[in-house]
Amino acid sequence: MIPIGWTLGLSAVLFCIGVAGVLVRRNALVVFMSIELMLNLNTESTENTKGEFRKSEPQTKASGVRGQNECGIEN
Amino acid sequence: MVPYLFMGFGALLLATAAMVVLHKHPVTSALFLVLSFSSLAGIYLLLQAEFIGLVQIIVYAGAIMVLFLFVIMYMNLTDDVERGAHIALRRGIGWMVSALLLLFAGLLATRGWAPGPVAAAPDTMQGGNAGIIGRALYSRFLFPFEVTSMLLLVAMVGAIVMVKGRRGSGEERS
Repeated sequence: MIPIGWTLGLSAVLFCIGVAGVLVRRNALVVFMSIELMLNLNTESTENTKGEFRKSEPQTKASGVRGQNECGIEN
Repeated sequence: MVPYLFMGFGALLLATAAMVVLHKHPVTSALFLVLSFSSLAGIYLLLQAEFIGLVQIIVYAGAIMVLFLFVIMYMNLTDDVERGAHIALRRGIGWMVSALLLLFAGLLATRGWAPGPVAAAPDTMQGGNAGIIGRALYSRFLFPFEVTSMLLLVAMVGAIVMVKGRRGSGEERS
């Protein structure tokens, strides 16, 4: 699985890119596009927190299947 | 395999997002934004959020970006290259503020000032991705959902009223 710090770091960097776009560009549409970037990344970070507890939750039900899948993916 | 894919999609996402901000021409930056949304959809798929990933492609890379391109080509926007000391000062302040924000985020992450993400109460996995989202949306987040839909309705009615009022005043003048 992907560690949660990676997605949080990625979303932080992209949020900063969006802030730079809002502050630097003069074109209104490009400013809107940068705002879209920032909002998108917020959903990404919340999505990953959901994935974090989803990873821990099904250990009671299907830990064997999930472990096999992860090993298959790793190889 | 998954971490390498994540790194690849993340690098593509960062590069295209930087090009959205840095490129001069609005049409080119909009096309880079399509590419960045697509790579973000790939990251969603890697995070096992298939519904969000596909909605990302359909809604953002499809509908909203087509709307952006329509507006750009309809208004016939040119490059936004502006010169002058005032613009340069504003641009420098913008870069500095975003760099400071990034530095602050790095400090938060490394020094452990932020407690980190707090997981909400887990939903059941039955019904797949869309089922989880729909159940959460219509039970726990029902009130914000309805408020958002009312806000969108008000914005739509307001846009129609503004366009009609402008057209009416134009007819009166002519």
